[in-house]
Amino acid sequence: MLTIARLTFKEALRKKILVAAIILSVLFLTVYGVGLHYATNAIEQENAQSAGRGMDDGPIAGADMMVESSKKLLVLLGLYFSSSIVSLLAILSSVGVVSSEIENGIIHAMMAKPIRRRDIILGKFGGYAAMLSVYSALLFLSVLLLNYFIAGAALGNVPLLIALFIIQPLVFLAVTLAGSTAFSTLANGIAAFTLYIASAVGGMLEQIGAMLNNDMLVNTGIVTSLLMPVDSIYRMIASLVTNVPGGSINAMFFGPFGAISAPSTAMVVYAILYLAGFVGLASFLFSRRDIG
Amino acid sequence: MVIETHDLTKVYGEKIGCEKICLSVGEGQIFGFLGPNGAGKSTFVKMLVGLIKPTSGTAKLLGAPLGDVAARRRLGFLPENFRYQDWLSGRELLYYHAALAFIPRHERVSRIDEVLRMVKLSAAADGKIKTYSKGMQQRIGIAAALISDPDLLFLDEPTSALDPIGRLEVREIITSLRDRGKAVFLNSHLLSELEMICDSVAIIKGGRVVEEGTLTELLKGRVEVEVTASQLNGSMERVVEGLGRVLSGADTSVLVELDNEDMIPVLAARIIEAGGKLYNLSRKKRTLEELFLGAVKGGEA
Repeated sequence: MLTIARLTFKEALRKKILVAAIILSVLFLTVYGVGLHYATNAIEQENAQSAGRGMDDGPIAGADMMVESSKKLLVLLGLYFSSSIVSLLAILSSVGVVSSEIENGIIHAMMAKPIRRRDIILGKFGGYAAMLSVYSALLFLSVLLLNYFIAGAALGNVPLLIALFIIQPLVFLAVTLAGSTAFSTLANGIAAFTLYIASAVGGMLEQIGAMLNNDMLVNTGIVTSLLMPVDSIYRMIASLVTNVPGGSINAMFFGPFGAISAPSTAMVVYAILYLAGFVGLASFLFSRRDIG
Repeated sequence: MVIETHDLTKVYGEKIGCEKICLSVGEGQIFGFLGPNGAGKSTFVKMLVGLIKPTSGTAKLLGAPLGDVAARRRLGFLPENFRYQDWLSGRELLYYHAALAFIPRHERVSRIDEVLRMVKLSAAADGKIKTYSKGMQQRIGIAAALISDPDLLFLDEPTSALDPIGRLEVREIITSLRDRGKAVFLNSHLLSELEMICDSVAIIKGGRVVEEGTLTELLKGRVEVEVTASQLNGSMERVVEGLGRVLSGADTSVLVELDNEDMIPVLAARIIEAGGKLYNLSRKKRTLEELFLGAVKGGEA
């Protein structure tokens, strides 16, 4: 299994999609950094003007909270789009992890070796998971460092946040891997991308529903989260990032990027079980499949 | 026996891949598996190496039931449409296959060098596979199949991309394996090549085995002799009467089919008795191609 994981990791590193993701991530971080710089200046100018107007203690405390919330919103923006990048990277890099090797015949010689089919699946998952984990952690830290150096925003719980952040692409990896054992590369790509869109839209609907106190929208979001729990993980991250005293007004401030309707810890457990379930499903489907 | 199959069958919906195939291959044997395109050759091999699961029937490979992972340590396989991670070098690919075959780490380098020498790729071993010619890719595939020094080797069209010298070299590798007691199961369309090295063959048609046996037995077939004789008193038909029949030819050279081998010296004696001068009396051997064509065309309306 480790042999396959090592080779898969090396293979994942040389994929063009990873090069494209790195270039796009650098571009994203550059644009994000520039935006962060000007947004921070604007926030601080506004704050200085409020202080200059000689307001008493109450409004100044409110202004500070506004500055703090604005900075958190900027962090959330970075993390939301970073989550999208790593999720898409997970889908696009692993969409043909098994199917393309069956289609081009690379897997044939491997199948006659003294290895179990489930070890092939676990090895493939391990290789891609390692690449995605390193990539996600670096992207997450880049967003955090930009916020720290440009906006002066520091976060606590960084190891926990990174761990949660990494779960997102790994869930998509598990689903795409399972799809890759049963469908063609193209069909799997379409299915996984649709699931990604459904997850993002469902998450947004749930937040809007919470803002509007609309149960139907919230329930739609919950059902979507059960079908694809990645957005819930993002909301958990958002909840931890924006965890500042101030009541619901703060949560509302972050709009669809925040976590007005914050998921429970059980959702993280569910996401991990979901991930493991799909890796198990991939293993089951692959072990039953004829490799023609 | 290194391969034993009993009624091994694979059905895809209503389409038959292989039907009730019973074969036995012994140690130190080169076994040729022949058949026209779509006859079920690859399906059968894929069932044996674990790529597809049989619908019914049983099989044993190296004494273990089909699908036994441990038995695959003694198995080598070159797929028909060989394709490898072409971004690796030949040596890296072999290292990967050596690791998958659980060859101890300290033995890998020497074993890789050994198989590279066998397939004559030592000089190109550190080049990327994507820069290899098709023939070189086939050689590295054979090397990957040989890496674990298997007791049973499945080669699906192993010489399809090779030039005549390459084919000769692969034949030498295969026969050297037989000399060491290894069994080789060969799938090939190159009948003349199979005829040169196979001990036994089976011919498959429409998913069923239609001929099987040792090559010597199968090629014996009918007793046909080419006769060149002159100054006979009477016709050749008369000389052959009671021994067989004249199939073709005229005047001094004819092709005669005899009832059995023992008729050959009798025919020679009759020609002499009839006052003829005998210049040539040679038994015509069937070729594998004739056997193959007879088997796959037989029964076709």
